[in-house]
Amino acid sequence: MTLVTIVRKNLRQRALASTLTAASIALGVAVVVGILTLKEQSQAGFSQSAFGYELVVGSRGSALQLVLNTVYHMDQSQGNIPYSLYRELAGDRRVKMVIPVAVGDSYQGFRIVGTSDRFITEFEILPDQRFELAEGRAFSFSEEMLEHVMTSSSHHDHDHEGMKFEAVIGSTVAARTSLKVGSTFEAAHGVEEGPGTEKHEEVWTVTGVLKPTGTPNDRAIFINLESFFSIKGHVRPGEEGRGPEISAAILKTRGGLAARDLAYDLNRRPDAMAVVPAQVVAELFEMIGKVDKLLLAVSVLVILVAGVSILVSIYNSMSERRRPIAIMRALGARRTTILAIIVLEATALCLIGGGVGVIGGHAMAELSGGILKAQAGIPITGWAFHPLEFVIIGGLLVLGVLIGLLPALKAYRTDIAEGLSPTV
Amino acid sequence: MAITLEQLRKSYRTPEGAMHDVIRIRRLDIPDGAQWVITGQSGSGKSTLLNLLGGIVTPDEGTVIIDGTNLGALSEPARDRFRAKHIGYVFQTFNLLQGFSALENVLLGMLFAGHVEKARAASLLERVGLKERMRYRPSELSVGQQQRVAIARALANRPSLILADEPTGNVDPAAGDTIVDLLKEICREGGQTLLLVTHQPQVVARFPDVFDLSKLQN
Repeated sequence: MTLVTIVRKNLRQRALASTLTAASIALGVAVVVGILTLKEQSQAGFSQSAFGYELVVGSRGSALQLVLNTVYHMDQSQGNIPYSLYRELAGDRRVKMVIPVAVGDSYQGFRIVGTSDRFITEFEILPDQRFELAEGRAFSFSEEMLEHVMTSSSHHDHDHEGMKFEAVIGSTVAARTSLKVGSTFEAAHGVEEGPGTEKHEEVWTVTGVLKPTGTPNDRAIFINLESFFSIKGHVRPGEEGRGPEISAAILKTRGGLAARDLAYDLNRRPDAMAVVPAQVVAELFEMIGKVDKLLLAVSVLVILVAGVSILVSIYNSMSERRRPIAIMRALGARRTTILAIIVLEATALCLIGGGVGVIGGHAMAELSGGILKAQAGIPITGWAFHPLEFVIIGGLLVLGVLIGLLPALKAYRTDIAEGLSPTV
Repeated sequence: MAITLEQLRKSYRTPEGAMHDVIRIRRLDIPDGAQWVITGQSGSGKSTLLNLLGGIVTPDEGTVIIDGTNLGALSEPARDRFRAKHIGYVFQTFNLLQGFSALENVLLGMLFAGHVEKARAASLLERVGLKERMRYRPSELSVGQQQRVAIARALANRPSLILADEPTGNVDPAAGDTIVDLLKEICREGGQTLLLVTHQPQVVARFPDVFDLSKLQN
């Protein structure tokens, strides 16, 4: 028998009120913890995958859409840039390496990216980190064939002669589909596959599976660019009066002020723009930050209102608890002991609610993180703890003590003789 | 435990605003180990006297000296500690905590004195005939059984003074007699001083030492 036993029994005696008030605290805490965890994790996930290269070059429009489409394999492409620009960039002395990116097709919801083999074998997708093959090899890439496709004006000029349709798949694609080295697949037109989606007649063979990178690339299927241009139904180089085009290019410069210079030059062009993905992501999070600050403020209000409901619940119970309190006092309990019991009750409700809320918040983040991971390939775990959670628990402890004090003072002042009177 | 009351006065304000003396005792000596029944008309101050002896209320004037300790000279926390260690209370309405089992109600009495002895609590309940009912909650016990739990609780901290306020007021006469006999027997065994307040003649008749409070006040 300890004071905690008394607190536990008192809470159990008012089970409904205790459960409801703790649940309201749990709700507020869960939302706060969920937001904190998702924000922290997604921010880390987004910024992490953007740091391997400095610039993304695409058609003029939304910088965010360009980054989401090229880096995160999300959203729609907002237009193309001339393939000639890619060539220009490849020849620019400020550029260390440039990779072409062509998108527009998918397989079972996973984006297909037409690119060069250097993206798989040489390009640093993360600082000092290249792709590694878990099995197989990179797809074949032929500059000659690409040139041939670029200069052909119709499908009939080459019609897949000598063309290799090969693909390297990300680790998530390998895990979620039945594709493995040697498997074949057909691409669906468009980035969202669904009923009625048109399928291309070309068949790709998987030549390699990438090791997990923790980036959205795990969810992508990379094919050789020349095979992408050979897909029947795509606008062909030279068709519709346009030269060959790609969706975007990602590049790493030789360092120094090269990235800034290059971005300045590119942004003066009428047909393209260059963006720094890290900067775009930072702006995105600044925007999101405003929304989650509002959500956090609402959640804190929910916690405070829940705190007030605990206060009201305990305070209202004081009248019916005059006798038990007087009995304890008659048995020798000091006023401070009674005060401690009531404060402990309020604190326990706050902490139980807080504990449930923390677990619930992480579970919520894990669930939402799973959806975000499935859609954007950002590796998110809902069970990563945020340092602010300790502040929340500390805050709940203080809140519990504060809201317990008012009813506790009422209990503290209970007159024993009056409380024991048979009329009470 | 010897008790001395000297020049004791306690008054309450009436609804009309006048002060009314409920207790006025010039001197009263209660010897160690005494078993007294205190009786008197309704409103004669029986319960107030017990509350003064238990340090639950403080006198307006005078002293309550228990085994050489002047209760009025103690701070409230010290009085609480004194009550927890030296005084056992038995109330008319039993005053058991409803959410607690019989055993836990006895343990609760020990908790506030600072030492919880589960074995002793169990043996006390066995002594009052509730060996098989230790885990029962008050609502699952008869009124007679509830009062036995209250007696066990009053004895929990080996007090030297037992104050019983109308302990048979809520039970039938036969059960009342059993309770009074049990209290007397246990107090005799333990050498405790027993002061029992009642207005029931059949209870008064079971004590050789009877003090009518209305006559005692002088």
